[in-house]
Amino acid sequence: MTSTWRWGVPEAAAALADGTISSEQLVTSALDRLHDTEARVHAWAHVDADAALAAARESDRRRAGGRSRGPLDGVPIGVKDIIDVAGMPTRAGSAVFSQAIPASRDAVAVGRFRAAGGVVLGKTTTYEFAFGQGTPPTINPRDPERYAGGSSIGSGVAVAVGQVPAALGTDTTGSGRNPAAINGLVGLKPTAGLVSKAGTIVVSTTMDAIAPIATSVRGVALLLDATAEPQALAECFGGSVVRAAERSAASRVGVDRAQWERWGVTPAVRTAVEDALLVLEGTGVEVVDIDASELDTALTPGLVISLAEATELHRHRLRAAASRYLPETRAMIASGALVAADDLALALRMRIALRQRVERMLDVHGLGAVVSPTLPVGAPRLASMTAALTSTGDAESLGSALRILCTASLTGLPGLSVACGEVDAGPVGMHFLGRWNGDAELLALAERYEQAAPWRARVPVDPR
Amino acid sequence: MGMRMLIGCATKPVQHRSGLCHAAGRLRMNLLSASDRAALVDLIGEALAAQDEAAVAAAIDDLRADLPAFRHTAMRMIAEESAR
Repeated sequence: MTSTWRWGVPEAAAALADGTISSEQLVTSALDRLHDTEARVHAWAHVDADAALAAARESDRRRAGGRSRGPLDGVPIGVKDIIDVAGMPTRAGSAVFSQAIPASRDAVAVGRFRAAGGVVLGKTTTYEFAFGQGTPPTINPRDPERYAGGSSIGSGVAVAVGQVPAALGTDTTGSGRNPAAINGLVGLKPTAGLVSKAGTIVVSTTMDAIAPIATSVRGVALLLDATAEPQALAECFGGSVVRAAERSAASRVGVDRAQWERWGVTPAVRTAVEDALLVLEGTGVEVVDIDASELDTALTPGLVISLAEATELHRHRLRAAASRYLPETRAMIASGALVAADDLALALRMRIALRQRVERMLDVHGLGAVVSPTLPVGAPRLASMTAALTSTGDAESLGSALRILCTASLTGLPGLSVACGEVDAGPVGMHFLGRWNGDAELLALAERYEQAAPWRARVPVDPR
Repeated sequence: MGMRMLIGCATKPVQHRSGLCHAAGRLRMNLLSASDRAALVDLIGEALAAQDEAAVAAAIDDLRADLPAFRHTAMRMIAEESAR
């Protein structure tokens, strides 16, 4: 019973349902794994073992009394440390909040997860205010010399090493999907508004999304069901994204390989995604060539909006405590104050126009999704990550990831990354961009791939 | 394509080998206009504005380099969608 930390969400949920294991045993195993590995990966900002075990025992009592709240009742997760969890401090990776008192209430998404019986083990690390500046101590478990993802880095690494079967991150311009891809996991940026952000220290009020991360597509779907807004679930998914995915008839995806060239996708990553597309075709999904070049236009308006919104969100805090920010974070937030109002207004209008055009592209070709690599490269070596990081065409560059991932972020459309192979630099992700409220279609397509793939991501992985 | 400082939400790593440090060095002479500097001072105060000015200038210069193309594309898209 001691290796249950190897289980993903579906396996844990099934074992809890059939009585193979108790939540207390499951949480104890997760805590043991955390104890054994944390010194090598540093994925957690705060752990409350006593509260988690108490919640697990309460879950076990409910289940014994026939009052289970659903498949996630008793399943432990981690929560990115910009999302409030009642009883735990939200420090957001910043000295500004180093003395934060415990939150008095859960963020809405966390509250919904706990109402579904879920257990929160603690808070996972992030870069300061999720901006990606500075250096959280979190280490890539496969190769400490390589990048481990950002900014939901702790959520990705905690799941990758089996400390928890799933976690909540956030995604502003890819920061939930990126650590999922780097760590061989599944990460989803849901359709805007499907999961409430209330109680989260966001980067951008209109671009951030709560992003579930897990070892499997089904794990992400279950976590989405448990955290989504009930009205949206009812109106758009018949009450459950999991069941809507099971009913999904999506059977065609589009690819724009010329775009991959422009993004600087390396041959190894391209091969991994091409192989994955062959697997997908083998399941009956048609793969068609399309011109998706307009997806390249999302980055600048995405940055205009996210920076301007970040400045407004931090304005009062900066005036009170600017010296306690990391200089890198402070400068980045401050640059948003210099964004012209005209440009912000134009970016907000372009967001609507681009969403319409992407959805029309999907409609015209009858697509469930546009598929691409999640990142153009595997995990870069930390030593190679310099000012040239965003130079397009640089084989060691992650900068093109912004172009790949920002369309979903800007438009509010859903984006999902599923592990599809491994190269010398680590796992590779395959990205699905879908239509508004097309989350179930993305999950269905990704799960079809996942179930047919001859390859399995090495998760959980033992940290080096 | 610049944006070396502005990628943190998606990717930014590392141990202060960030674009910020490099950009700040490279663009030390490229400081803010008077109006930009006033906005920065208003936000973080005179002392920190002096400290951060080069870095902020590098960041906003990167973003502004891409704005002409963005404005052209955005106005075209908006006009085309409005005409549909």
